[in-house]
Amino acid sequence: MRRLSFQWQLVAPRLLAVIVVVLAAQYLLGLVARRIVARSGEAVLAVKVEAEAARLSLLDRQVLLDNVRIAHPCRPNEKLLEADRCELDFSIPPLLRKHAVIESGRITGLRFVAKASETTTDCTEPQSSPTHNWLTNDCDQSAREWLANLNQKFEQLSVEQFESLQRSEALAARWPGERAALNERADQLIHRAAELHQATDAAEANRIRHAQFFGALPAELAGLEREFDQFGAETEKLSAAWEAERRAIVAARQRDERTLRERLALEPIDADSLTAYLLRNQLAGPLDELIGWLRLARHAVPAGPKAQPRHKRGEDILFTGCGPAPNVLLREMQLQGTARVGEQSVELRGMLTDVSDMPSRHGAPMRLRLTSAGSVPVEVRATIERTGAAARDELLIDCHGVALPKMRLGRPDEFEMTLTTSIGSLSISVAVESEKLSGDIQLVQKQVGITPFFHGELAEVPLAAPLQATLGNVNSVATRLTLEGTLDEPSCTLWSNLGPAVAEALERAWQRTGDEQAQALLVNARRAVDEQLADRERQLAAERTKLAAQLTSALRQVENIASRQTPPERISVDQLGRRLPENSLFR
Amino acid sequence: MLSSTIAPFRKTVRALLAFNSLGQLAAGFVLGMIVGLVPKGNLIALSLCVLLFSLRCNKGLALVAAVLFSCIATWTDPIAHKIGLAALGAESMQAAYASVINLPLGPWLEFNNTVVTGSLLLGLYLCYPVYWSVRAMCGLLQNLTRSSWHRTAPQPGGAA
Repeated sequence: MRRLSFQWQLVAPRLLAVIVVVLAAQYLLGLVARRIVARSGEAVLAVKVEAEAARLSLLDRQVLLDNVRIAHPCRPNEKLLEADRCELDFSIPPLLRKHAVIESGRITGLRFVAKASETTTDCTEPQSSPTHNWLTNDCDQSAREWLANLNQKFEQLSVEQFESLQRSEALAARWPGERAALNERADQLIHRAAELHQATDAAEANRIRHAQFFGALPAELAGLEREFDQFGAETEKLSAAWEAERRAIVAARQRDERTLRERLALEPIDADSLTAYLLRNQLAGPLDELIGWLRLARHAVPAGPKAQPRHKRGEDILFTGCGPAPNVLLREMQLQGTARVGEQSVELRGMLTDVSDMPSRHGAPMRLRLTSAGSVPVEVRATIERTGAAARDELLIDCHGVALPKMRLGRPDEFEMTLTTSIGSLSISVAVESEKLSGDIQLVQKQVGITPFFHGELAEVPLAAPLQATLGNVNSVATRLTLEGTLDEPSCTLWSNLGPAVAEALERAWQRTGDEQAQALLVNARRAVDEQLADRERQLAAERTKLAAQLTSALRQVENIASRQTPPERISVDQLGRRLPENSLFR
Repeated sequence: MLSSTIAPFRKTVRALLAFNSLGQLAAGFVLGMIVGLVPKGNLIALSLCVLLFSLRCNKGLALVAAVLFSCIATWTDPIAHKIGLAALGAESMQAAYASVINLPLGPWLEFNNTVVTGSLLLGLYLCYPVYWSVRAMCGLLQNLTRSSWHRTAPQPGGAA
């Protein structure tokens, strides 16, 4: 027993020392593995790669990394991708030849954290340009002009511009003067008749003395009667003029209707321009993000040879007979993670193959294939080809039955449309060959509800309700983008059935609104004119009746004067020498 | 005043040169020079370090030379690159080079790098003249320090 205990005293410290050394070695190897992974990641992806913890298992030839973070190339402090766990199975023989070859690996809990398109002031590469540079700036000019014209036309609609109304108002304005003149004339005639009557009465008391007066009286009476006749004729003429004016107003009313219809007529809106007007802002974000990812791929795997590090001294010579090989090669990596597609979180599984720090030295292109595991079928395929003469990047995405979020299209200060949440299918096929960009993006949205809104000056145009009624028939929207140009200066051609549908609906709605508006204006104008005409007619009739009564009375006075006048008698023989009456002045 | 100023330098020189033969001092300096010239991070540099610490030579002087020539290496790199390019570009040696680089651990030597090979060859070329020059200088310095030591050391039974 003593011998055994003695042996334990000898063995135990050594065993503990070995354990401590192994643990220390394990810790140090983990640190070294972390550093190697960070450097390899930077060499392969040209971005900062960090791991929270790393363990190296020499027996399994495996490196285990926890909480891996891949930084954004423009903003090293922000994460682009992160993963819960990463397992890398290394191959030992290539390590003796200074090649790190990962035969297989697994990444779980992969998540996309940041968007590739977001730009900051300190980001120089890859830089994303706004989509407004892709679509030409005047592509929606026609639609904007049409909407401005619409507003202008609507603002111009007013009953004050109607000729019929203007004429009737002019007539109404003229009438008081005419009536006053008529009354004045009638008063003058009546006054003259009254004066003549009084003078005649006075003169009849001494006819001899007023012989001259009586001599001129018939002529004066005749003149007065003539003036009465003339006044009557003028009154009749006024009635005729009134009738002519009424007919002219009726004719003007017809012209007003015709002019209004012409004024409300609009040129058909350019459907393509309207498509650009509605979609350009909405498409800017996704397009920028797509181009951002393509630029990121080019940044991580440049088309040409990677730049030598600054501290590199001298050149590495490739001897005759030695095949070039990449320093870091990842043959196969299983991926499992989540991504946000539309409004849904989709679980993705897939495989990343043939990733290397020098793709031109590796025979096969890098490939990524991801498929969804859930109910939403999503397939992503990406190829980065650097083995040929020209660099080629390809991205294919197919999603079906994706729940798309509510969208706002158009301009929030003018004409805007909201699309309700819908089910959509997205198909992206983009290729970058050398620097040339080409591809198609197709989006089909089904079960869409469209609500139009007019803001600003257009808010006064009552088009929203009829437009919504017409757009209620549209429940599917298809959009296609054709990409062209280069990665630095991309451009796109936009097509959608939304533009033509909205254009047609707008025209119909405007036609309906215009008709209603025109009808309302015409009715108002007709009512106003009719009221004014009836008023004038009534006033004219009353005036005529009044004048007729007054004039009849005056005319009777004149006739009375005339009837009292007898022709002058000569003194007969019998009357000569007769004594003057007793009360005679001359007696 | 002057003696107190140069005293640290004198002590350093004494520490570097004392207790070693002239050959060991010169060998240490030469090995340090080669280590300084050759880029680090490869098996050649590592082997040279192992050799330096394995051989019986002056390690202090070797380290001083390594640091000194690491600084100078920036200026010698273009020459080293040309030498390396000439050496590695030799057609007749391509097969030999290829067989070496294809050996396990061969790429870790990094001898396919022009500056590594060029600076190694440059160092080897400078070995002989530098060895003898340093040996002569060290002899001179040792004599100087010895005479200084004898002057300053207290004489037994007498005044200093």
